[in-house]
Amino acid sequence: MEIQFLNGHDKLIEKLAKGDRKAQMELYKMYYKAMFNTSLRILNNSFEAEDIMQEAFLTAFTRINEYQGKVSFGAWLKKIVINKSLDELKKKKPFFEDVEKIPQFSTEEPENLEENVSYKIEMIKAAIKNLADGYRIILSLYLLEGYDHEEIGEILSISPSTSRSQFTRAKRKLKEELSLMPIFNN
Amino acid sequence: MKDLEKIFLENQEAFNSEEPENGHFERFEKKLKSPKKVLRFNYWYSLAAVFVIVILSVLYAYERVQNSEQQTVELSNEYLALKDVSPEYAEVEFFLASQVEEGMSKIEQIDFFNNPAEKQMLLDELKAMDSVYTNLQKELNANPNDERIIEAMIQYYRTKVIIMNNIINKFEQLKTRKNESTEI
Repeated sequence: MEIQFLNGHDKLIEKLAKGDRKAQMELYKMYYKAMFNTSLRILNNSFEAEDIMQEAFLTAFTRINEYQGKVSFGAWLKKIVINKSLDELKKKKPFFEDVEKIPQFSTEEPENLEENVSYKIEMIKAAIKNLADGYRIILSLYLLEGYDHEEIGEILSISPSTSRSQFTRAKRKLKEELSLMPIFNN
Repeated sequence: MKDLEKIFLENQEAFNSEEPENGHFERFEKKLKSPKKVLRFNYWYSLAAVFVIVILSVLYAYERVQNSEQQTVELSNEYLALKDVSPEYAEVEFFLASQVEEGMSKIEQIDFFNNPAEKQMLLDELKAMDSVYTNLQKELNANPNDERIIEAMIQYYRTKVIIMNNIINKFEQLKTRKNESTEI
């Protein structure tokens, strides 16, 4: 049995198919942030991420007839964003492991616990940003975009087991980077 | 450090907190309004391709009539034609000539994006190709049953059909592309 997701804005999608500009802007406002962050994690550059994210929206609008409601609209759109971002990255340079720069971290440590968590997150983000393209992408796809290794294998044209071992290596590398920071050493 | 994955899982929102530079809504709206540049480029590219085909057909025609004086462009009845060689060739000629007819009437129906002068030019040039055939008819008259001339006559029809089909296809592609780009 096929599950149909219409996630509450099927009317909006109907309007999209007719090329309604208001509907297009409305959808953009709903999804731009998630899509921008997804693209940014792959491209690591805010201007490029914006451009590619917007291109992906345009592609989605012109190909809206291909959307069959088998997955949520957001998931469908995200796939387009990821593919476009990866294509763009490949255009610039092949994935290779660069010599990583050690990021500049502030030595001040926040006192209260809640701040502590958000501080940690910022540190993790910074560390991910400094990982090699391949590591950064696989970590994002698995931990943040929520794809499993089968799906990642498909997206990156690698086997699921390569995805698995790359992920393990990427995580190890991230931990290594983080262990250099005092806040994670407790 | 064991809680690394947990940190990700529990703080999805914090990991998705980056914002594009200010003004991205306006930039997107602008992109929505202007149809894709790529399409526009393809449109002109295809138009150029159509005229390259026309020019090639003209060159072809001129090359074939090079050595003869250009007088009549109508198919001449005073000379032997392919159909006079044998009943089999008559059938072949009838078939090929009907394909040419069909192509001509299709091209005559093409809407030339409001450019009747270009259309007339194209039709004239296709007609001018007929002089190739007339020329061959004269040669056949002089050397009846010369296989090479018969072959050349068939080749003339085939080439003309190919050129016309190319023109028709290009215009159809152009039409769909134009429709696509106005739909965005």
